[in-house]
Amino acid sequence: MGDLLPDDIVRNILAWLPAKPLLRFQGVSKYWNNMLKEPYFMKLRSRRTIILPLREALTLIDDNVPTDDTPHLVLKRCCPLENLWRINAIVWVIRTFNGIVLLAYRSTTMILYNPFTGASKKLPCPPISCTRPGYGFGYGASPDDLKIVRLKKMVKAVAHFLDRVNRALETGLIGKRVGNVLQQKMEAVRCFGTSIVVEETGSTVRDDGGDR
Amino acid sequence: MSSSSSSKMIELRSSDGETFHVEETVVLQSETIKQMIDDDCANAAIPLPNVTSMTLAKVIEYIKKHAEKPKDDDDKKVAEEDLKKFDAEFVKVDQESMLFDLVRAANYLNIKSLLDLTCQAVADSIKDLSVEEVRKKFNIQNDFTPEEEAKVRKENAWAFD
Repeated sequence: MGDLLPDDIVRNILAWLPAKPLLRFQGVSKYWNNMLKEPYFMKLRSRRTIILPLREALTLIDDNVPTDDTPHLVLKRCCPLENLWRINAIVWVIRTFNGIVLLAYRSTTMILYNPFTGASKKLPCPPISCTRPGYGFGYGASPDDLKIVRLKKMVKAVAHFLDRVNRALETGLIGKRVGNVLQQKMEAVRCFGTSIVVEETGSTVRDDGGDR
Repeated sequence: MSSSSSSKMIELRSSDGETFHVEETVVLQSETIKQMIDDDCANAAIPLPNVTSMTLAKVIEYIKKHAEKPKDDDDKKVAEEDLKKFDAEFVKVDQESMLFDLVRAANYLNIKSLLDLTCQAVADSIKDLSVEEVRKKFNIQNDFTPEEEAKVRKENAWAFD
């Protein structure tokens, strides 16, 4: 039926497939295997929403597959913590950013993980944590720098307060003049606050995976 | 079809020698035929040696439907819904070989929307198939050694569930 279909037709057909059969069909032939590993097909897959559920971290859930009847497709990629799973370690998904996932194991090991490529990188030990820090991603000085920052609670509190001032202003709860003064003051506190409470974990991650 | 239109008629000849008369405005959805008309090669019947009459009839049914122009905005919404339904029914063919024939014809005639529609329908029909079934359907030889095949299966084991 599909005898000798031209290449571009086969590609067009396969491009409509959800992730699961797309991976399965890598086993059809060597030719298909190579074809389905092309960036074009990888990209098709990466457009989909990926969720990393905490309990079953590292099982990616592809939940945006319109042609599939099952609501979720579980997509398992090679995992940086394979051994840890076997010993039932608790691994936290700290944060995700542009498809990069920051995982933590105990409080001493942090791992950056790219689920699409399966690449991972263990970060140098983060400094002994202060009370319940939050972590965030930020851009570094150059465009290919990705920084991991640790945020103390204060930032959140200030931002939260500023939110409330804004809302109060909007709803007319406080006057514009008072509001502006408060905003300016808080803005100043926030900038000041941010500059002191944000600590880098001491690691700058570049695309090549090397340390600073 | 609106009979008031005085569009020029184009004659198409299928591989098995049957001729079809289609309005030029309709047939222009095929980039291949458009090119022929632009190049002034369409004075006689256009031979389509790669398309059987059965397939060509289906293709013409499709492009005729897609050439219908809604009269106003209200009509437009209804027409869009109608077109969606038409498309969904259109790819429900009795014989699967027909679907592949349509894919080939859409590719040869270069009708993008029909190609996408039929390719999507094929994808839909194979998404739950096993690797062996896909090989059979696409007439692909398994050129893996048993060891290689086992390795690929292991790599993507979850996808074989």
